[in-house]
Amino acid sequence: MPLSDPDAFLPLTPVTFEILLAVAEAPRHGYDVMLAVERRTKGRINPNPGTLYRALDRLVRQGLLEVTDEPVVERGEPRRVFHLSSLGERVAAAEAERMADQIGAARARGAFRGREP
Amino acid sequence: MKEIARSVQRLTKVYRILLRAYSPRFRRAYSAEMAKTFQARCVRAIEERGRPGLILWVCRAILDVAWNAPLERISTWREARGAAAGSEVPAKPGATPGDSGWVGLMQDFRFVFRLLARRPALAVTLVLTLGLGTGATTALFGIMDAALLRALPYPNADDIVLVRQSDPEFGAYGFAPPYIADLRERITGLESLAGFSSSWDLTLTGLGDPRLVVASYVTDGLFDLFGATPLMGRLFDRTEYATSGGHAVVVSRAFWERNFGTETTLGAQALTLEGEIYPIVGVLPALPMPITASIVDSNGASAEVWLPFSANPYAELRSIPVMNVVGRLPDGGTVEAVAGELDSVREALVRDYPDIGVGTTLVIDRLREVVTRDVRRTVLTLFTAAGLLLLIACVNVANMLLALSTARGQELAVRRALGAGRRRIARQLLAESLVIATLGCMVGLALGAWLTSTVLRTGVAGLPPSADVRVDLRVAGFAALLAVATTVFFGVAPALHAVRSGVLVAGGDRRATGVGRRTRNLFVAAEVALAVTLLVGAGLLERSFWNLVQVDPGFRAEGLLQIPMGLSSSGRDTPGSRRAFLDHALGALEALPGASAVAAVNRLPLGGSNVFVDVEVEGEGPAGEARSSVDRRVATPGYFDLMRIPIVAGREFGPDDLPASPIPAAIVNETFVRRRLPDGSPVGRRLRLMLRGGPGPWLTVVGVAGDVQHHGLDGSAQPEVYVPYAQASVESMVAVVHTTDSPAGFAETARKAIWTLDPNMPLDEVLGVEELLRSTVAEPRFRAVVLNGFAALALVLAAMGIYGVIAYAVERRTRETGVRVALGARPSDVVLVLVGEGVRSAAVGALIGLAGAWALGQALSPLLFEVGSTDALTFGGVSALILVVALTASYLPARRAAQVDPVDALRAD
Repeated sequence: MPLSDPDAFLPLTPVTFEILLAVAEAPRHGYDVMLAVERRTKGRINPNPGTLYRALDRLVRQGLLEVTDEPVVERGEPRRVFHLSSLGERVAAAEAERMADQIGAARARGAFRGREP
Repeated sequence: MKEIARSVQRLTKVYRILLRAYSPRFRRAYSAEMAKTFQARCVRAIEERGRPGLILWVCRAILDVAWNAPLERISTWREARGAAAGSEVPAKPGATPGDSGWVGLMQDFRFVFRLLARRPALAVTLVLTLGLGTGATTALFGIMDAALLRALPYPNADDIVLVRQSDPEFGAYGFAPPYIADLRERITGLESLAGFSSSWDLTLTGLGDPRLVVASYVTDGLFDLFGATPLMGRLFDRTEYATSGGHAVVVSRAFWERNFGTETTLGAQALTLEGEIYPIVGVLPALPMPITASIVDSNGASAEVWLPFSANPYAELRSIPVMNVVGRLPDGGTVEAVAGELDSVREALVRDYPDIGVGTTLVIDRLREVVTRDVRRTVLTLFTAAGLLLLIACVNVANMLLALSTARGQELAVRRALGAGRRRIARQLLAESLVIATLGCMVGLALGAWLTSTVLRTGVAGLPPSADVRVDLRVAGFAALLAVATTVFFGVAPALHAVRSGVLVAGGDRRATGVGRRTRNLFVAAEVALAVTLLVGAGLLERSFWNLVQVDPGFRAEGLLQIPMGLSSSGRDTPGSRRAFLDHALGALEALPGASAVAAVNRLPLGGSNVFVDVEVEGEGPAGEARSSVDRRVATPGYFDLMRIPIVAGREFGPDDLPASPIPAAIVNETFVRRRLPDGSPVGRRLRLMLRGGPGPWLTVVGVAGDVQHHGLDGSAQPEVYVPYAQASVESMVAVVHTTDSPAGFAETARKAIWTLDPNMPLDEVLGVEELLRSTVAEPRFRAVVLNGFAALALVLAAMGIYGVIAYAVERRTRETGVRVALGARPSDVVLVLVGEGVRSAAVGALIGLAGAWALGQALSPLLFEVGSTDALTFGGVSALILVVALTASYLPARRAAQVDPVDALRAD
């Protein structure tokens, strides 16, 4: 049974976070997720099929993603479409908050050093 | 493009198989999508970075599976176990995995690496041995694949047949161009018939230096038959095929890119060939033309430009067979069925055209067979040799693995005692074999690729130019299969045997068991047998090669440079103008610093082409019976002296042998005298040659020259008649210059000198005569070198094997040896026992090997020159060599055994 506390999933790996972001934008099928991640990160993150589908599989099993029951037929090819679940939404938000907090801390420290004579 | 789409599809299939490494649950959910993703990425990789991009992507995808599949299996397994235990918490990463499934296998692999790291020498030897065997086989498989299996890169190439005329004297040859229409009309058993000329050198001017390009004339239907479609422009149209002197040319992509650049599009470009302008109408991808020595007058190069046959100077003549006729068998059609029809076709042809040739028959062969015939034996011989080498390598690997497994008897026994099942141990052994096989395969592939590129550089003479030797996925797959099969079969089987045969039951008894020793002695015998077979084969070829090199060609090639010149171009239409040009050219060459003598001949010895004509000797009965073919050579004064061909009677041609001389002269060779003028002095006898236009004038023999090996060093001398150039104007001559400089250095000066006389003269084939002579033995040299290399490796491997087995036996029997020495045996007795064991196995192996060598010798005999296939020297020498090697390889470890201190030996157990 999936865990329900978003914080229990943190921190997320960069690939996982990017996948959640990509699916948050719109429900997507696997290859589409790969392209979206690649596009957003300008090619810096370019997951291999194994890494991607294993991550998708794990996220589904953990309840962060949901899969539409009926495969969508697009150009004659059946594909599974991944949606963000409400838990997934909360986890992504929590991760974003966590990262914002870290970045804030870094900024604060950088500003402190910048003020030093 | 289609080819790329096909290979992507094939790769995707392979990828789907790889996906089986994931758990069934994961596969059901995602494998279809993953395969599609893989395919999409393949296409993208090709679009972005071409073939290298595709290769990189495929490697990445394979590594991806190798990395993610085991991890996925582990997490699935953990979850399943968690669920089984009723726990909701996923298992901790630190949980000890059992010895089932992938986790256990991963553990096995880690264990293997540790094991090999502990025995680096053994690991390196195993991997190198396997690498040598698979590498040699892979390279030879690549060559065999290119030369025999993929020889013809045409669609349904197996259905393409070659129809030829054949007569007992000249063998099979093509047809005069006009006959294509008759053949098309009369042969009903073939779907389409088309013709092409063999390679045809044409002078290309106006595009850089004047040079020769290799052209082929084609009839309509030929491009269809060979499946060629233009990249740019079009092929010839009906009018171009039909009109006499159809003016259009199609060029290859390589030719186009070299001369016009990669970016240029086809516009109004044209080529000036033999002084005439041909507009380029189309660009073809590479279309290797099927060429072998057995197709008429081929110069061995593949065409780069194609012209309609109507442009061929012989297109209208029914007397000159310059056309190869190819056809396609219909579905279900057989060569035999068409062959049955050919007799009646021939009869009909002879009725209509009595000139077609007396005594000829029509023959049909599959094009593939004709093209691969010359090279088949060489390639198969070398492939067999590589296979033998691989076998030796396998036996060696098996030997080492067996020794390893026996040595590890105690370790395995302990593991069994601790509860490891036989399956578990077998899997461990399998993992070992797989790791060794993978490493060996990688070494083998690298070696194979290197050998292949070396072979490409050296060149297998007689390899069809259409052959494209490369290490591709298929060849790599072949290598991988070999390496894995070898190690799994020879690694796991003997090890399991060791497990069963009681080594373990005895609780790790370190003394050699009878079974293990017998097996290893058997291995030694097998290795020696294979090595002897290979060594004898190599020895025979080597001796044959030496005999060939020792053949006196009948002339001295040192310091000679050949300059072939076409005399009839640039408006030299009359014999007088051609003679004047040649005189000028020879004069200009002689005046060059470094040139000491100059002469010319129509065909140089060993040049590959010869002109046969019929000859009639005066007073020798009616024509027809007394006529027979001779080699007709046309030479200038000074030719014999320059080539150092001895004049054994009479005189050489001189300045008095002029066009208008009342007594036209001839020089015959010794073979001619032996066969045709055996009685009395040949000088002063008269003969005449049957030329294309009818009988020539009566010639008086003025001299007799020594025999020259015109047709190859391994052939016998043919009867020859030389005539002076002044009295027999021909259209092309080869100037021969003797230079005191290096011929290569002199070539440039010579070219410039000729170009000042005729700037349009193509001079690409200026090269040293010695080089020419060397190239005629290139193929036997290549065979001998490769086989010798293999044999040397085989000898080293066999020696290693014998040494290994005896050293191992010595180590195992330290205690026994110690007891013997303690009981008073002299060290020499101990040495004798051990050496005797090694040599006995080797002797048995050598006997079997000699029988194998006899069989190999039979297969090799057509390649041998003046060496019997059962040459006693080779057989005896190899036997002696192998026994010396066996003796040494057994003596070294045996001596060590004899020096063991009995006390240490007894304590050792």
